[in-house]
Amino acid sequence: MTLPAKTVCVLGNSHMAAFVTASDQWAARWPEMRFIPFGAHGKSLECYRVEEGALVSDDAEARARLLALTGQDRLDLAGIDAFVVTGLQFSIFAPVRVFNQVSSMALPSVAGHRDAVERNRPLTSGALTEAYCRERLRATLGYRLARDLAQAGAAPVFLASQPRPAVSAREQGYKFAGFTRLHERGDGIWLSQEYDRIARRICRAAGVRYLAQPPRTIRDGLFTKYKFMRGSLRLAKAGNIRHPVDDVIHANADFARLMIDQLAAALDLSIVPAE
Amino acid sequence: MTHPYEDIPPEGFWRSGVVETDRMDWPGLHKPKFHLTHTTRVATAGSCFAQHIGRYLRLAGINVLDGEPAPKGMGEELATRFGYGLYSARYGNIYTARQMRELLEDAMAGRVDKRLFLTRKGRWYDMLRPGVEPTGCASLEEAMELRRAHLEAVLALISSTDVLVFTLGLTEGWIDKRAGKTLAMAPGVIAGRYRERRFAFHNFSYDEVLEDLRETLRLMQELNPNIKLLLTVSPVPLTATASGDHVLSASSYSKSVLRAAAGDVAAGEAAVDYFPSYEIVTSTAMAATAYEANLRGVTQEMVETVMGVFLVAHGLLDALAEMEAGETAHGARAGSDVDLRGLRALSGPAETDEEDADVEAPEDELICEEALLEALRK
Repeated sequence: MTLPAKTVCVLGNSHMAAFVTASDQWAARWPEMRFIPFGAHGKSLECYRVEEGALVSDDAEARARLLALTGQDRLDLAGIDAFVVTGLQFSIFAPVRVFNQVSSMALPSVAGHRDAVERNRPLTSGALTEAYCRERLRATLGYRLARDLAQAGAAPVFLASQPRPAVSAREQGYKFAGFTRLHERGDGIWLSQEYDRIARRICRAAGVRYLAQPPRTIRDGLFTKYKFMRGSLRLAKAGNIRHPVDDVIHANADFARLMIDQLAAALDLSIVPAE
Repeated sequence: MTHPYEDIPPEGFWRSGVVETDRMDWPGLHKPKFHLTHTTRVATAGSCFAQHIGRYLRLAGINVLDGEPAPKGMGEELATRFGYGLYSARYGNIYTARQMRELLEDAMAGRVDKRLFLTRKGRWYDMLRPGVEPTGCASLEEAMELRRAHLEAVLALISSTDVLVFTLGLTEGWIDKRAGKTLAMAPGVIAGRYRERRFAFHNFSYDEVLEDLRETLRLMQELNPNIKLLLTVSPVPLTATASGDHVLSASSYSKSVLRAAAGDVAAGEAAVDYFPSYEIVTSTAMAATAYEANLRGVTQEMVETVMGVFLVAHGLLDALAEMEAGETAHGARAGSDVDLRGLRALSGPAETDEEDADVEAPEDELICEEALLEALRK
């Protein structure tokens, strides 16, 4: 007997595209899940708020973007069995930026004040850096949206980690200098674990479930393996426009498939492997 | 001259100087020995009340130094909780003159004594500034390294400061007899455990405060020969006393000693001045409006009056007028005839949301570990 499919709403920005692609490409893999997207590029969802059981916006431009991409400009929360918030800056970039500014002896490469001085990043306590990482993650649109959805209704809300940048980001100079520096000093794996730990903790406190990036997609803690980034698609109505080859931010459908597998497992829904 | 009072100016008489004077501006009350300008590099330190002074000097456009700034982008609430932005370095509240002196001695010697770090629930606290790491440190090593970094920041700060504004708060302190240092708080309140054999209560005398202030000045001038010291006394009474006296008498003693010592150091040293914030707040003329309901916290209005007197005396109101002119949305008056009460609208968090702009800050927004003693009351 086939159970009625659960409606899973995927909300986000450009990172939503990988989920949409995966859910189309391997629909048979998750027979008990039906996906509906709700999102648009950039910070369009910033203009939305939960009001009387719906996600609504007064911003005509944002509504038009959502309508063009998803066919709806408001989202009734009733009837949705689970929400997945993707992208929207909830990522390892937050702690990397923290450690671009300060040092902490929690970092494997920092033994004390002198190391911090040499790095030109003042020494702060592990307690402070953790609080600062929490603050930065809580400030992301992804976290705030997930928290508001969790407060609004009974359906479970998942917050999916934005993928770590591609390994090739190291070749992009100053833009990813913080990642490169942490990697070269041997702090990447520690920071990766710390990020997941903090993310899980703040999500739990907000009544949200955290979907971490699958370990098999990660290289050296801070980066995503190339095979999970190549051929990523843009968020577009046409659905088949690729990101430029030098894009190092967006993951592909293979990545999203693993994330959806995690989701299915968390919801106790079946996963049917391909023949 | 028929008698010695003939040429005394109006402020020399109680009636004209207090009863009938403009008690918003208190003309003639403060005649600075040296003037602060917008380019003067000012550092602040002291007891909780000094946080008001630093904040208002910043609002007036004074170059208040920050030797240990919060990471860029960190929210104000988090930064404040970890002791950023309260003073010109993360030394927390420095209640006694002895603490200030010992801070400079340690900074100059690069001395970090591991006996001055105590634990609570497995976390390590720097007993010379326990409030700046509210959840403590993971290890003794971390706590000691953070202190090393702090002492270097203090050295750099004093070396580049023109005027240190130091607000004296208490004469009562707790001394770690083994380390020979004055703690910021009684042992056991934030961390550690009180043991009579190890810790001793000490109520600093006039002579000791005087000597500590002179030594503080000498040490500062060793680092920076041109530095000046501007002393104030906090008008905030003691939360509790360990002297055995009634807290009212203990407060009176403490403030009297501090006031006398500050005045005498200022009288004897060209590089030291005294600003009478204590007198303005505690004057009988201001009794009805000076304190909050707890009779300790100074009202916002009174802080504005105090800082108004200071800014007028230093000729620093022009910048304030310009700022107020730019704050017409808050309904403040523009022009040179500045309503100092308008400072309230300017004294909120720097990144206040528009919708929150008319929400007043909580009454007691100072970070004041001493107030923790209230919780120990039986």
